[in-house]
Amino acid sequence: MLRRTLSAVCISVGTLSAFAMVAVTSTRAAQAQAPESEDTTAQAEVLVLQASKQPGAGSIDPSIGNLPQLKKPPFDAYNTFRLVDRKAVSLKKGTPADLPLVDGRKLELVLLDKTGKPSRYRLAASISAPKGAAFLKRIEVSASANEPFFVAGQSHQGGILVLGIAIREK
Amino acid sequence: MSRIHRGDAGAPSGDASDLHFANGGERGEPPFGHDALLDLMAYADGELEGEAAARVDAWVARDEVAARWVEEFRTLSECISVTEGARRPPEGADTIADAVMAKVGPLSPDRPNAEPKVVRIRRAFAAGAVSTVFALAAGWWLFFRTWGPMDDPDRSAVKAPVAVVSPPPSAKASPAESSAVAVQSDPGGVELEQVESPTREISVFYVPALSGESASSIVVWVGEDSKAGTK
Repeated sequence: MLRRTLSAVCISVGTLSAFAMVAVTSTRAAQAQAPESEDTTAQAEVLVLQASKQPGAGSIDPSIGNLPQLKKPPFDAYNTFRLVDRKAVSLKKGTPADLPLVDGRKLELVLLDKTGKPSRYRLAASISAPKGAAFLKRIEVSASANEPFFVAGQSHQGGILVLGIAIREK
Repeated sequence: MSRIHRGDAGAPSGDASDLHFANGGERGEPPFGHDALLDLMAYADGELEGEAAARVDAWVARDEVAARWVEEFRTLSECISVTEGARRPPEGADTIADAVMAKVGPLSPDRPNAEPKVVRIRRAFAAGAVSTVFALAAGWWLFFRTWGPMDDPDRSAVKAPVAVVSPPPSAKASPAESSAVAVQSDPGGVELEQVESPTREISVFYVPALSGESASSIVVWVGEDSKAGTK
């Protein structure tokens, strides 16, 4: 009899504890995931550069602007950077934005999330060939505004393409 | 192919037909013994000399099945040569990427932010292992976000977990590949959360913050080589 009562008490306490844990988890998860801003858009800038190794000191196209990363590894293996294209892309959360590249491939950017103040952005990027085959299936990156990340390696006219991608504050 | 030197090199002793299996060849099985097949292979590759070559030569001349096997071995060798030739790195820009990898070299664990880091991710396990690692890292991140102290004013700035990427034990990796690498960022820098690339080799460089000039960043380097020819 005593054993049965203890079992019932244990089961009740266990059940209540489980419900409490679920409730707390749900509440906290909801708080953690709650959107801090209704703005679900962002403006991205994509720089398309051609990097190559030329005789002599080489040069960096002044229209590229200030990108100190180009002087650091792995880019310091090249000495000449030419701006091929510069595009502004409007991103809306969850909606892919396509950008044709000079080598026929296509860059796709998706704004996955935007949180905090100052805002932190989560982006997905992929590169596909003209026939749809994936060159880069997917990367996911988080960055603040004006913090560029780079996707490089595509062969182009004796060098490589360097894509510099950054969110710009409106 | 390296040359074969064996004490018993040459055609099988006695009549070659003694080595035939019953119904050998009709079921797709080799009609000769192991040593005889090695002799035929070496003969097809031109690796036999002197008496051994003459013996197999005579055997092939009188045995039509052996002659067909020699022909098959030669075709196979040609295929291998063509494939190996196609796998050589192209001249030009792509070799620079290899030079970059060599220049960066192995990591320095005691100076984690002093040098750029590189993670070379093999196609075979890029989608699996790396996604798993990042998923685990994301899980920890979510755990701390959810269960961190509610009264912590800096809770929204919980530092990102260190995602450690290392190749599986079975992978043949260069020193740089086998190093445990953390794709971590300084607070506020760029963070790489996930990489999926089932068909191409990916290298990830971590570019540390340059004092006063920029936040830390990452470079995802995608190789042009593709086994599926998806250019």
